Amino acid sequence: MNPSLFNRMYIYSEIDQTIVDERVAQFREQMQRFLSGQLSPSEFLPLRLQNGLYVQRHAPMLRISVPYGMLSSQQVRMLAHIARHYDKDYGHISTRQNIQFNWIKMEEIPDVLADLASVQMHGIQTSGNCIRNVTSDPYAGVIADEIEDPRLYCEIIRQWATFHPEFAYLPRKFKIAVNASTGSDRVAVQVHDIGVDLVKNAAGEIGFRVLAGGGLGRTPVIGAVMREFVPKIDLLSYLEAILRVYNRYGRRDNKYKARIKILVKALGAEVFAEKVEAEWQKIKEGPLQLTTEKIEAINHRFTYPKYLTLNDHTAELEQLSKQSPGFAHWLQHNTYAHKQAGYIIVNLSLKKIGVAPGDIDSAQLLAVADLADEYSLGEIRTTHQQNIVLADVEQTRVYELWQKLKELGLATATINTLADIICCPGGDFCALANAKSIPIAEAIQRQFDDLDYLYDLGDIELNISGCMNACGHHHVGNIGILGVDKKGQEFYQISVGGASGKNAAIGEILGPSFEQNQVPNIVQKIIDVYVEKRIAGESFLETYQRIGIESFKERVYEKNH
Amino acid sequence: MKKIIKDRHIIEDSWHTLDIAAEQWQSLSATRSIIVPCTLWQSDYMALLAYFQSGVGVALENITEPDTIPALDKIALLTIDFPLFNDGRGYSLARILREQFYYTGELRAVGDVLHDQLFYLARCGFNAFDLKPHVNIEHALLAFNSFSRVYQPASA
Ligand code: SF4
Repeated sequence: MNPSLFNRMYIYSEIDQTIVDERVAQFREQMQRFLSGQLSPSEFLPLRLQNGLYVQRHAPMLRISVPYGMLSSQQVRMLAHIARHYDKDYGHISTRQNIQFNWIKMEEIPDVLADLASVQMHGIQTSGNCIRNVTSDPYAGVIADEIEDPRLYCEIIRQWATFHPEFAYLPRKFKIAVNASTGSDRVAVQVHDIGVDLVKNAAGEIGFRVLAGGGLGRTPVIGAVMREFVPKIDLLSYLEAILRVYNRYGRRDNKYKARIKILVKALGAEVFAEKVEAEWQKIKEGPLQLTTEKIEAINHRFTYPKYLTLNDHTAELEQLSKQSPGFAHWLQHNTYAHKQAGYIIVNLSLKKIGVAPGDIDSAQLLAVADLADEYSLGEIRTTHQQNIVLADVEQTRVYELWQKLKELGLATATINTLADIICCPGGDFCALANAKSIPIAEAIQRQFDDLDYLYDLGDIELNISGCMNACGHHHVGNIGILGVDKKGQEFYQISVGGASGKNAAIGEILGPSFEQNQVPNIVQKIIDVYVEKRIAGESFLETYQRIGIESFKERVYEKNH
Repeated sequence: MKKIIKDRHIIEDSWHTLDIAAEQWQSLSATRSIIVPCTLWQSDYMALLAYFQSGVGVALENITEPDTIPALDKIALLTIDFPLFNDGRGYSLARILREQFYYTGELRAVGDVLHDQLFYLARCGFNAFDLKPHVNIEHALLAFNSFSRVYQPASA
């Protein structure tokens, strides 16, 4: 039997499929009008963007939506086909869990979209000034500290946001993330236009804490709480109220001041929240109000994993770890505890040195699809950290899986370490870049290639963006690197102290920027300061928070280094 | 006469935008169908209603606050201007007028109104469209059928 029937995927209804098919037909017709000159480039621009089609440095780039990071093995095989057939044999996982292809021919895009529609996929709203793909926790549904599975609410939001007639021409792009874990935040809720946290109120009811006005880019801001508790049935009307206030009052005269965060700042979070509240009161009891039945109907379209009744195999795993230090490292760093006894969550690293972070080729995609079928209920997840997760692996088979991943180059045991770099495509691909980012990532990975040393440094998030658009989330990296342009030369500005979890923080800039070849050394100096100043058990971030930026500044700018 | 789309049909437009100084409106024939700026409506709506026999149209900007428009139920036609097709404020204004102020008269999109926005505009409550001259109006009628299913409630 098809193992994919036993994982937790949303299966399209006839409505979903119709809409995606009609979208393909619509875009084919729009493309024809554009190619025949009836649509001007500026008129065509938002239409192609809202199908994920950018024009990049070398060729068009197609961004394919991966709703809340969930893929079936069948979908991954289709991605492999697209990589092989239409592209240069590889794709790239973005920090918002989507997949990008960099070398597709413009005329072939409608065919690619038709292929995608055949496996319930599309590029809808992955770009443009509209509500983008909703992101969520790659460990959703499989961790113990979760209020409820967030993917149901992601799907409810996805449907509401898809072709929302009122919000297709917002002042700027709009990103929503949903988190349900009480202990961690792997989705960066606080730096999204809207962040949704599942919470339980004093009466024990589950609802949402809603933040708005967070974001990175030119003006990084931590989101403000709009409402501590929004009941489940009011989720969509509350989001609609926020979007409406933003759509009406957000700035449109300057694209750098057009994100919701600027409006929230200009009005003040409280005043903004009051406007939202006033709008919400008007629409809350309208047709957007959810019912238990409506929520259940969507829930019903998700398949459920059928877990076996198993026992934990901690002792066996320890035994195997003793025999194989390589496995021991990998097990410690690249796996995570599953809520179900006998299972384990496995991270596939896309951070092998020499490969651009987040890149995966068609052979690997096919192999991952097969491994997912064989070991993880046919389901694959993409992560904000640009890796892949197989969420439902039986502990007794994890050693075997590790051996296969090693052969595929997907077992680099550096998850959450300094070498697990988040990195945007940068100047090698992106037309907006000030500087390259991929070679910087590689140079740093080469500088820090000693695993024991990396492990000793503990969890450190290092993020690289090739320009102020901050696709690589450099502001919230413990160490953040930003490509800047200095009189036509590529330079790098470095910040420290950013954080993206439950206590998100924007990093502080050290000072003047550095040349490309200096960067690994500067990172080394930052790390040296940490190693010298840390007290037992302290993480990089904790040390920074205790000692402040001065020691780091002194070291990196000291004379005669 | 100019052609527009109304209720999914191509019709000849019988309305005229006030093209003289606003304070001279009484020099116009009382039988004309005139669209006046919102500011004139705000100050003179009673006199305007008494004077023009076939009703009065009011031109809104997309930043007009709906609660500043008096006697909404007496207005035969509202236009909302799209200074640029990708300025989405008009979509919200239309829905608010329809869903919160219960405006039931003609609601017309004017300005930078193009083929590919019609589907969304109609869902937000517009029932009339004064398209940009270069748009093929017959072909544009097809845009209303782009999608046979929708996900979210809206005005239409
Ligand atoms: S951060 Fe800048 S360079 Fe990097 S992908 Fe985004 S826009 Fe391109």
